[in-house]
Amino acid sequence: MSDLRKEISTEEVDCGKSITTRYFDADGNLVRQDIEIVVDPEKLPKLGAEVNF
Amino acid sequence: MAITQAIADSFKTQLLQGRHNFTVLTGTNTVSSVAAAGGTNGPGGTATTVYTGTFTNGTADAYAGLTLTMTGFATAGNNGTYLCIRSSATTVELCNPNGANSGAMGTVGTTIDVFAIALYTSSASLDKTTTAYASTNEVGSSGTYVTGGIGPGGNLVGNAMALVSTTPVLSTDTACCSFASISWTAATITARGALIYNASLGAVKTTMPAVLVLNFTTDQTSTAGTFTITFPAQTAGNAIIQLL
Repeated sequence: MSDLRKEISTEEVDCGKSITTRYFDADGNLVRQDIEIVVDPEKLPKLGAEVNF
Repeated sequence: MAITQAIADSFKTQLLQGRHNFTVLTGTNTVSSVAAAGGTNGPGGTATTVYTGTFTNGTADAYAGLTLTMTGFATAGNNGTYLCIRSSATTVELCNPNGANSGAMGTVGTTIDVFAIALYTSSASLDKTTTAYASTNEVGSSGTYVTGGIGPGGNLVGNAMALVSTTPVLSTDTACCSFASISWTAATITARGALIYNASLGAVKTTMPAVLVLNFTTDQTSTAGTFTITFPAQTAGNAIIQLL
């Protein structure tokens, strides 16, 4: 992968953040694209609990 | 069609019914030998592998239906995450079609319930009313991603979709669950969202209850690459599932 040009971009999504890593060959052709979805707890619904006696 | 991020309403009820268990096995779980895969007890008549050792709480098939994770074995075919179909205090029989009687032994790890994740296209409808896993509009198999990877009817293919959970902990009055990050390699996938579900009974029941829906907002695409979902830390304010 070291001879490939790498581009990284990020995008805010509902559940957190998406990180896209693209690898291009010498001719500019996309040869591989990785995705990482990083779940952000601040964006997730919470389970609350309340007990009434 | 839309994907709306939510904790499944049915999951909330089922928590109070004791239907979901995030804890891990207790007692000693070690392996001293592995028999070469054989027989036809696996899904679709495939071979299984018997691991012999000490499984303190495995008597009377107590581990049957659970997914055990084998790691650190010198022989690669003995490593992986597999459904257990029989157990005793000295053996576990796993749906591993590639076990081999060779190499140094590794270790056993497991969770009580098996939680899994499925990726869906933009055509899917997922929200708080989603009650169970369905293959409709799930993305196709690619690389190590397996559509219906853990599904009814014993459609087990390497348990590629299994999430590794950790025992719930208390963090500042908040009970917290966590999953390890999951990746599918060599995968060409376009997904708009995901469903986490409890797959523990997938091999014997027709429904696998929903836990929560993740919305990716836009199509997220991997091309001949790695598709990863990274979950947050198991602490109050951070955990993927937390009871306040």
